[in-house]
Amino acid sequence: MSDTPRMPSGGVPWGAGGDGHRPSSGTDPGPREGTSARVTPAAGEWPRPTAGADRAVSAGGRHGGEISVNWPDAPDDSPSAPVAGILAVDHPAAAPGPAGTFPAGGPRAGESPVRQPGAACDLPPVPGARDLPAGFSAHAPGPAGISSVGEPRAGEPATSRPDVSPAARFVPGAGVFTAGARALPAGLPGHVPGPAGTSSVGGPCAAESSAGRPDASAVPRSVSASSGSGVILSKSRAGGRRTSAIPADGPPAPASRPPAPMPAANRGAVPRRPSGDPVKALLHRHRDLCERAVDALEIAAGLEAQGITDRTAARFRHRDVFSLAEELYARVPRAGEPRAEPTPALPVPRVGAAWALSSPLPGIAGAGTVAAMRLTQGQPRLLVAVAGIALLALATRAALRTGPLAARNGPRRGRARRGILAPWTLWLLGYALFGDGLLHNVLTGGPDTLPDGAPGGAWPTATAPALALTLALVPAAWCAYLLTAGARRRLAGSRGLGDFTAAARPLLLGTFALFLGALAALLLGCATVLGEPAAYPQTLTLGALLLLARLLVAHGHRHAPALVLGAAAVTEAVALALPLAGRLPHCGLLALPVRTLTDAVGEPAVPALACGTAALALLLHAGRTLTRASAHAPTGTTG
Amino acid sequence: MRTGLLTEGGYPFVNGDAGLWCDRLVRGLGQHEFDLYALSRSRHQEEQGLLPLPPQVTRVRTAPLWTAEGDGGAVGYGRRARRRFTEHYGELAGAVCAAADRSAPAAVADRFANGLYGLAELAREEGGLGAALRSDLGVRTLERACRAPGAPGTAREARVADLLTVTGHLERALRPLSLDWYGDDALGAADLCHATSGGPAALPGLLARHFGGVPLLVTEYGVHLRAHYLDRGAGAAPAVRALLAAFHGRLATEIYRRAEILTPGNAHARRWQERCGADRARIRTVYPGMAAGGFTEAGESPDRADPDTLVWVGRVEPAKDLVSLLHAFAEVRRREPGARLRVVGSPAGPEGAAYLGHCRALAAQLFPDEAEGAHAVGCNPVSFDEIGSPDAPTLPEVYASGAVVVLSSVVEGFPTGLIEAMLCGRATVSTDAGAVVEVIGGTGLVVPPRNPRALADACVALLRDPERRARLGAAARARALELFTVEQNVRAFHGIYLEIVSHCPVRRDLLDASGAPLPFAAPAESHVPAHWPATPTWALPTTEPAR
Repeated sequence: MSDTPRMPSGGVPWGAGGDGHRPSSGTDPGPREGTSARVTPAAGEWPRPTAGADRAVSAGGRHGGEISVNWPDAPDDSPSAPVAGILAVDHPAAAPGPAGTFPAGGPRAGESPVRQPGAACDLPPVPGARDLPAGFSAHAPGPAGISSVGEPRAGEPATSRPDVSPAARFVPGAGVFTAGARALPAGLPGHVPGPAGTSSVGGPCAAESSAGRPDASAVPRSVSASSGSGVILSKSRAGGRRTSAIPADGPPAPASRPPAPMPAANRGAVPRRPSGDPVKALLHRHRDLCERAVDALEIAAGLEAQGITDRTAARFRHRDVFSLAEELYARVPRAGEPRAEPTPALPVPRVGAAWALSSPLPGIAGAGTVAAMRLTQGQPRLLVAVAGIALLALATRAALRTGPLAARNGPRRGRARRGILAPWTLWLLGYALFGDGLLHNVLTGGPDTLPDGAPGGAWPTATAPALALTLALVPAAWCAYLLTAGARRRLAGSRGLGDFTAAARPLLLGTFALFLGALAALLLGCATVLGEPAAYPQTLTLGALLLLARLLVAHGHRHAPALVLGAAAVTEAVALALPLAGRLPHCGLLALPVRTLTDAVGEPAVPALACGTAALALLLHAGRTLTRASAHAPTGTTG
Repeated sequence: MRTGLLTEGGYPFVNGDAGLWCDRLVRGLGQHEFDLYALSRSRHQEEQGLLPLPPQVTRVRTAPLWTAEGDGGAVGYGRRARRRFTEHYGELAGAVCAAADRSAPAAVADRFANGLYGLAELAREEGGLGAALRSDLGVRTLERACRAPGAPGTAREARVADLLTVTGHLERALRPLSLDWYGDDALGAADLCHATSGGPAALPGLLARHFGGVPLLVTEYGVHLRAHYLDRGAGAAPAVRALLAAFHGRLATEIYRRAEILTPGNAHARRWQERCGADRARIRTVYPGMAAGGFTEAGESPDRADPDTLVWVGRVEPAKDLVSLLHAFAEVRRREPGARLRVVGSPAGPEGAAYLGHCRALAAQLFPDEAEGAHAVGCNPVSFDEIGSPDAPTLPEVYASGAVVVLSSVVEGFPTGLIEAMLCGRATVSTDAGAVVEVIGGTGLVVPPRNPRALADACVALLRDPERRARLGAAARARALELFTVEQNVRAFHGIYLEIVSHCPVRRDLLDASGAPLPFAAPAESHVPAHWPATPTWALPTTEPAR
């Protein structure tokens, strides 16, 4: 199973002798004797800690037995052991898995309940400094990695971990290092719980030691041998520098923890802030992420994006980032559900200039046509009428192209199943203009002349209703806008589909009633201006029918309006045809229903009845369809 | 052998991301046939067109994921279809909402799979799945699942707007179910489906496996689930995020269950896959390959390096932690006064530009200019360049000019710069971040991140020891040539293809004119994974070799 890439397997012969751990004495967690270091830093290279005692936990140079440390001058408990977390990791990239696992390295001294300063990182097995057969060179047997004390970036003033600015650790050669120099813009990625040089390098070292130190090699924790020197330096520069507290949270070695963290040594005289719970600091630092997360994997993803690896998670006593994320997820304080998070508002349709300005256009065209027709007689009147109607058609098309009355997915879908509305609408409007007169003529003996566009005469043309209808496009557009805006608002506010439906129904009825009122007012005005009788029933019903049909089309339902409009138009056509058919011999009965109706109520009853029932049917249908939440879903890409 | 390559927003499109490796794969396996099935992510991407394709790509089919489907105006479903839809979608939604249930993960996964395949079959027979998902029926089904007894708290408090948002996302995510790619002339004719990423790219592969038994291979260089978590940040309501995360998690689990072989690009992706339920026995790590040609010249001549120069190459941004590099270099200079540092790279975005300025200021502060004598003009030991400037004309030359290549990132993914350095045969010192340790593997020095002291020590150790540098460099180059080149990548995939095809051959029954299955219609040679040329004339009228 080649899930590990083939690696030139030069076994890294671990430095010989790196096997025993000396049992830790007292607080000294078994330092492991490393193999002889091949490369030893020149004496005096490392700044020596001036102050005293390192903690008993001396990670000291010892660690790592794997790291063949052999400082010439490094006394056993010298705090100088530190540093240089130079580890050439020679893991064959194998089992990255192991990176996370801590092979319980033998009798790890880790059992010692020693506190460790700084991150306890076990040094990864460092191959003894000798040439590897495969030509790999062992890494420098450096002393254990410096625990890079986490240094909070300037942008994070309050972290609970004591930090030592690495800058402070440097020998103040030129005194140039300033903590301020590290004041990076706050935009820098929050640094992972920096403390403790987690030299996670060791991770995959696991399989390495051909010298048969599986346990040692497996330790992925690098000791954070915090160089006492570093600490000392930091102390000396404490004034004005960052707090020279011991780096953090070396989690105190609980005996239960398999890979006992090597005590980071030598924090010198600087007292380390006791932290029995490093995860708390991490939780605090990533509070936002943890509170927002919906499950543990999201926290894990966020942590990894910040640079936390399995080796870092090891410092928190977890096997890998996933288990750390689960702990964080479990520990994040979930105060009373649900937190009132501001729900992102749905996009409310705005009042677009396009449709607000183009909706009065048909009204204007209609008014112009009527006025022109009133002023002309005879032949020019016909031409004017034709021109006016053409203009009106164009204006209506323009007005209905955008805005709340625009058909959704209009031109893209050409399926015939969707329904054709235009011919029925034209027929109904034509009936509104000429139909009453025609019916009257038919019932009284047949139309003798063609209509001449005048309200009086043999075939009266009712221009007021038509004009009122063209003018009514404005209130229709605004009512549709109110409907969609109100529906969106209710969408954002309702908790269930039933709630939304219950809230949307009065909205629909209200806007419908509003439109009817506006239409009635316009009709009254037109009738007064033109001096014609105001034909309320047929106009109101026709207006209602057209509005409902257009609303349904605007929400994408074309089938029902097409059906109903067709039915209404066919009814009116039949009502016109029946009396004509009644003139045939022996068919006098056919004309009976229409005649009785017109005798009883009058000619306007026919269109009123036809359009009225159709409007009622559409109202019922719209009440069911347009009050559904799915009809008002915001379309378009939401990423 | 015919391979169906499934991509999402990637390869064949001109501005697809991460499409180069697919191109190299296709060009490297010229003896096989490839069918490309690409999902596009945006109108812009489709309008840009496709890359020029090699001749072994016999077919390209694209489908958009970004179009806004018509809403459920007229759901053209009859009663039976509605019932089926409610049942399958209800199972799917129930599995998504029960995601927090850990007690029976297999049961939840099975429910999800049943729902998904049921919807796929419905879409194949009736069509109109998108409209049905967005219709009132779909939303009500989702609501019912959210209010079901076992649903987690965040799902239970989903409001109507959240439900609609989730419905929109689900409809877009399940759009591959409505495609007509699963017939016998499309994906059904392939011997193998290779999905180039997880998530939506692998969904057609799942369905091809369900309908036609075509084995699936999934390659993930960046785990899709993780990318989903990082992208859907704080924008949406928690209920939406919870539901979508659960859906993608379930989908990922299903993909990992059904794929024959998974190839993550590095250990990080592999961990995520294992976490999400992948079987370890099916995972093969195949590292991404880089073209090594340009670096051979630099790699074969290690003597051109200036023995005192450290080189840093990359895109300047705060995650690269140049500041600690500068501090480390200060320490290096203290011990090796003749050392030089070259920082070569261009800033990434406005943040990177600000950071670069900051670093320049810090360098000016830390390192005074040096001059040879009292009357010479000095220069700063740290130099900032960009690729293309006269001092750093090409990348191999930059690497070749330095003795040691340094990487000091805090957050890193897969370090391609490091691989380039390894190809040039340069010893490297890098911080342990991301996949660095995996890539280096012992042929370079690795130090903890944010530890300038350790970095300095490592650099000094290398600067003082030229034989060690040479050894490390040679070892690094050998390792890179062995693991991270295009050839090994292509070879690994070829091996995996052959393995899959040999273990899971697709069974196809060829029928004769009357509909009865023809025995021996597919001779043994037809399973040979090579390009089978034209059919012999004697086989034409009644049978055809299975291709």
